[in-house]
Amino acid sequence: MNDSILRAENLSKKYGRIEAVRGATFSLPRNKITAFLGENGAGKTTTLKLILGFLRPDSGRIDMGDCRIGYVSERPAFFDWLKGKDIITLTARRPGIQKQSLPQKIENLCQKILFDPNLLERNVQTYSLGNQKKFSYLQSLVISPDLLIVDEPFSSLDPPSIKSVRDLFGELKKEGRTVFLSSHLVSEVEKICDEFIIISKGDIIVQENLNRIKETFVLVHLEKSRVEKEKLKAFSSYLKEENSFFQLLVEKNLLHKLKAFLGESKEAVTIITLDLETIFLFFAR
Amino acid sequence: MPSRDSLKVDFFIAWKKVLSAKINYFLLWGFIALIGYIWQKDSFSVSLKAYLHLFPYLFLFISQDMVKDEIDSGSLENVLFLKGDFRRYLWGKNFLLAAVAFLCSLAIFLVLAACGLITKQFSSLYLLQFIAGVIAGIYYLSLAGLLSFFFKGGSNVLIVILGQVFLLIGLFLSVSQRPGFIDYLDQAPFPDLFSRVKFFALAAVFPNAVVAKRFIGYALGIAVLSLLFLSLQRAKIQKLELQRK
Repeated sequence: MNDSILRAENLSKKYGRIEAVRGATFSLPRNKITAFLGENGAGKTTTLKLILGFLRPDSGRIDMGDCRIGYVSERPAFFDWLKGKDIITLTARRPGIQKQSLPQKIENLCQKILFDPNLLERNVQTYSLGNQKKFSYLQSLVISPDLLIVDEPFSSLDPPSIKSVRDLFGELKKEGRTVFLSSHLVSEVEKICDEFIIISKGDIIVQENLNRIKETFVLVHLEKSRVEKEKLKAFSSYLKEENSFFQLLVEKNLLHKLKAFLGESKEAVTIITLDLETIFLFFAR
Repeated sequence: MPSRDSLKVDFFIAWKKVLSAKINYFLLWGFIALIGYIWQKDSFSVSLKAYLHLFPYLFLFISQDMVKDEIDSGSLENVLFLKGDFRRYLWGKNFLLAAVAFLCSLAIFLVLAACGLITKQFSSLYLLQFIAGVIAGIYYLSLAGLLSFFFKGGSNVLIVILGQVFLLIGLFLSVSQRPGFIDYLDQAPFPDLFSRVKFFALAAVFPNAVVAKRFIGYALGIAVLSLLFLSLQRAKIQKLELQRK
């Protein structure tokens, strides 16, 4: 738990008969940016809501000690009778927040996320979607969270804002904070994340360090007709079948052994250098 | 145990909501104008009687849209309500709304009581009736709060009023003494247990009835029902999860 800011064990959640999350076990390493990837309906948002306490798990547990959490939802919604400044003031009432330096802090944060501070005088529901998203970042950052959880970090944001938010994640990491991002925009997330967790149909498929997996593995496509599946298992535990191909993640240092094993069939091998999208597609489908 | 800051946050949000609903001002000032009008057209005692019978509605109207709208809108899925704190907020709202409605009711009652004391038309019985009215008001709040888990907008309040309209039409058509209906209720005899149970059932739909002079005992029954509805609310809140529609 010392290296992790949060640990989930055997987390399960059903909606009626539908199992949204099944025995999910994972941890969020402290002071890292972790991407949470999955297809639509894979169980990402449900998992986030379980962590945040908006849903109760049917079974399993979440350990996160006494850390301060910030949360930016995919589609932030706010009480339509409150102004932006009211919500920020209320959020800053939480214990441990320095009230004296609040105006300066708000101004700095507004600059960082390209949010117009004049909007704070208006009701948040009157903001554009992009500004509501930025306001949600502002609200979470005001409490200087130990762990910032963001569902679809770049949705509704324009390109300059996407860049500012991406930079912000880097700054938070430098400050020793932990960021957990759930996103579909794999290419954007790849630029900033250290770790990734892939969830598919409610199951956590893999949790890995992105650089380690990129540096260590390549993806190999191999025609099914050339080799028996059981024999391939000696080269990789990450093996799957797709149409007329086997796909396997092979450690780079085992690649020559695999080629030697395949002999003449090695011509039928395609080797693909890994990026996060390739990894995601490999695991999620 | 919630911190004082957390409670302040909850109360601020609920209080701002009350202030932002223009219908609340309209109903409050409309009610005050109605009491003034009755006083001017009839007498102080009739206006006070009308006030005592009608003020529990302040509790009902302030209870519109307590739960479901806020859940469905997603506004509770906020940093302010992490780790299940939205439950504390929803539960605490009952008490804030009750306090606001009570203070408004008390302020008007004190003005009327002062006028009554000056003109020597005030009786201590009115105080008992005011307490019974507050119990009826809390009953409304607990019932409307429970209904607001299932119905959006102000439909929780509308359902209570529609129930009363149907009951009153039925009752009004069935009694022989239609003029002076409230006076009739004041003096109605309850010779047996069945009659009493019938009246209590009526009071459950139309709790203002317990304000009538001879029915203060029934207010206790209404108080017990309020506690039951509050307990049901509490149980629903404990199980509540935020799933945006």
